[in-house]
Amino acid sequence: MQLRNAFLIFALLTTSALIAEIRVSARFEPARVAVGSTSQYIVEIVETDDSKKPAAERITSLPIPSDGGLTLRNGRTSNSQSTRITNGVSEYSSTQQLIIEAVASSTGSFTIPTYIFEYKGGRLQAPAATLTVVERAADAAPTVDELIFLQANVPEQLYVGQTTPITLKLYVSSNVTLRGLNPLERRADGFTVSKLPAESSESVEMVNGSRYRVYSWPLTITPISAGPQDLNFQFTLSAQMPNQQNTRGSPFGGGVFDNFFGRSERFNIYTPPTQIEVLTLPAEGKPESYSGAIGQFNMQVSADSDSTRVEEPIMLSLKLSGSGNFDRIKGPQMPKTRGWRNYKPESTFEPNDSQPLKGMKRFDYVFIPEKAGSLKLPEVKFSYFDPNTEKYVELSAPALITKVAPSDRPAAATARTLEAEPQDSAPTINLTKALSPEERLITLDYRPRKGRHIETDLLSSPFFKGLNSAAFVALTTSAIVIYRRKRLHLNADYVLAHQAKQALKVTVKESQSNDAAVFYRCAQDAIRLAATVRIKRNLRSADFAELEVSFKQSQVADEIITQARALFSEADNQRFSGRTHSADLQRARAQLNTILKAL
Amino acid sequence: MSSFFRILALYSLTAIAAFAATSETEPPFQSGIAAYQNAEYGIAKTQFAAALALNETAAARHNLGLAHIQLGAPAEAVWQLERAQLLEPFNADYRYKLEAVRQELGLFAGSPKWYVLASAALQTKTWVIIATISFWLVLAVFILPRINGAKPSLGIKTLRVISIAALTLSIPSLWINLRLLQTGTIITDQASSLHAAPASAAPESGTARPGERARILDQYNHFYEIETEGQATGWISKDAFRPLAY
Repeated sequence: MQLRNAFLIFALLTTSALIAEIRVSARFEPARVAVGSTSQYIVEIVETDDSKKPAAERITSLPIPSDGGLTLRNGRTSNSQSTRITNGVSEYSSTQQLIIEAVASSTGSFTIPTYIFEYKGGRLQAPAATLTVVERAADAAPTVDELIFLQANVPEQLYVGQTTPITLKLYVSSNVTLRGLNPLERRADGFTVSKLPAESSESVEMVNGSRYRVYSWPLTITPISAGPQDLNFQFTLSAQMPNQQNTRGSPFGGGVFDNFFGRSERFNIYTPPTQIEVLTLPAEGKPESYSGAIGQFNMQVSADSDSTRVEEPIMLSLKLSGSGNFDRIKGPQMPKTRGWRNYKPESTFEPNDSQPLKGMKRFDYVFIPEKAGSLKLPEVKFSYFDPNTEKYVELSAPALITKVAPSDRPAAATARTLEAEPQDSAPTINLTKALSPEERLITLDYRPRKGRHIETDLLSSPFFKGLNSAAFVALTTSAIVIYRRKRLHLNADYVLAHQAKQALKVTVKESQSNDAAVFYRCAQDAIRLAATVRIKRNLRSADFAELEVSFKQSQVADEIITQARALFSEADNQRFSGRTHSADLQRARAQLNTILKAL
Repeated sequence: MSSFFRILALYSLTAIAAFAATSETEPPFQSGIAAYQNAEYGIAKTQFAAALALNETAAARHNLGLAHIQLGAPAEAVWQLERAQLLEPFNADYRYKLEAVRQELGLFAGSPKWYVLASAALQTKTWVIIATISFWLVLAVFILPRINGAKPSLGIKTLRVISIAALTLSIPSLWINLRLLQTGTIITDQASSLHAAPASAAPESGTARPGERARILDQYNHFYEIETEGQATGWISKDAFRPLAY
């Protein structure tokens, strides 16, 4: 069952394909032209189908047999579709036109014979077409190619990689009004071509007695493949030709309005077919240092300093000036040199504004010395191919000598100070170099130094609190000490009391003795000293009667006075009789404490 | 024979240990430089960040900033260069680059004023010490002679002048330094919205430009309240703004 369905679908599709009809025609339009005028060779493929809209297959090339005197160029395709319904029956058609411009350089009849080409898996036959080219009449109007044409001054021979300036010139007759210019197209597979500048320079030239406005654009081309290489440029532009100006029939009459209401037409303008012979660079005599430079160059080598320290970088600069393919020049590879560490160079190019191939390219190499001594930077070699002499030229700069002092950083203090390397006859060059703003902006810092420590909350840190606390304590202590010292100097009562207090401390300590004689002597002295401190009068040698008067004056309690009297009496008894009891001593000690506390 | 092998083993172990000690990997700072030179800016950024994690140096900050410039993140580069300048305030090279990048972002160069430079002459901690000591010294030279009751000597008078001058100098410098630590920059490469409240849904109160400096007024959850150098005030997400001191 499935097999039957598949067969039916296949049969239906086959039938549908057979129903579609394909017709091919070929013709020149116009079929008769004057010498120098352009005709269009048109191959038309028309497909018709009753069931569905036919899908055209895009044709990219045709095997057109060449005719010696006919130049075919600028092929393009055009597609259209249509549907026709007659008595309810639909017919779909698809038309594809391949339009190629044809120009003949001489009179005669030019025929493109029948040829076969492939289309949708089948083979179609394009019929023959004939173009008749006749002499131009003496009073005939100039052709479009005479009114507008494009030229490029290209050399006949170049080397692969050789960048050359060319000028693209668009000639527009003074009778033609140029309305618009589309972007440049080029057929230059074997070249890299610089971008077309936005602005052109304009001038006026006389060609074959006619006046032309000439728009010029400077370009540079660089061949990338060897052998004969095509180089063609094309502009699509719109312009108003002299015979299209509406001098008649304009509702506004002639004159200035002609330029506004004239009809513009689009044209494709080509450079004449050009082929450049591109040669490969000779292998003979190629230096090892050669890296693709072609042109004429000068070299200058300098270092930013002739002395440095271990691990402190210096910059070796190589400046190449002259004319050539600067964009293809790479910085020469610096060999590994003992005692130096180096990095890949940073390059900058300063072009000459007026001449794009001229300028100065600079390579900056950073070298960091790893040891102290008199060290040689590597010798710099650069070579290029001079297309004028067709020979390689090698430039070399002698090795620069740099004095490297030991590092002043602690980490590098242990670095070995090696013996100076043997010097050859290379001269020492003292040069300085300033970086451009752009170079300065992208230059790294090679020296990691210990920077500042950033603390965020200093005012709440223990350090800050401790510092202020210490300052507060110091100030307070100083104030107290100064105050006391001042009173000792100026106040006699204070001095008396102070000295009595000091003596009282000593006496009280001595009164702790178990010897009754010592105790009672100290007890009497302690009461006298305590009285001196309290009353601020010298009572150190006073008897009890004097003390009692003083106590009463200072309103000491009677009980204390009684106890003091008893203690003094007991002390006198002890001193004069020599009798005492241990129980009495304990009681007397308690009495003394009570009296001293009260005083 | 066995003693021969023992000696051989000892020598081998010593050699391996010595080799291991000398074959250290290249420090991240050097690796960052090498990667930058090779135009591998992404690797350079990672390496400089690793170098900063080990030890924060102004050079590593500066180099990380340049890597960000090369990677097309100028606002982040501004922050890195601001921080580098905080670490080395008198590095003219850093200042030049910071001003250049700021101008590239359409901001004023923002050269520091003379008093900011003067206050950067000493570290903040040093200013704190000078201010604290001079403050207590001022108290001491005025209070202690009064307690003593003696006429201040020439030495005390000189000390008064010196301490008052030090206090007068250190307090504004300290204030400027602490205020600088309360600033930051916008780190997004697009203009960021400021909000009237610490919420993304809050109404917009202004716009902060990439790399623009701003002073922190307050913070709440994931937002800072800032005042930009263009006088716009509002709340901004912590993803778009980074303080210089963190």
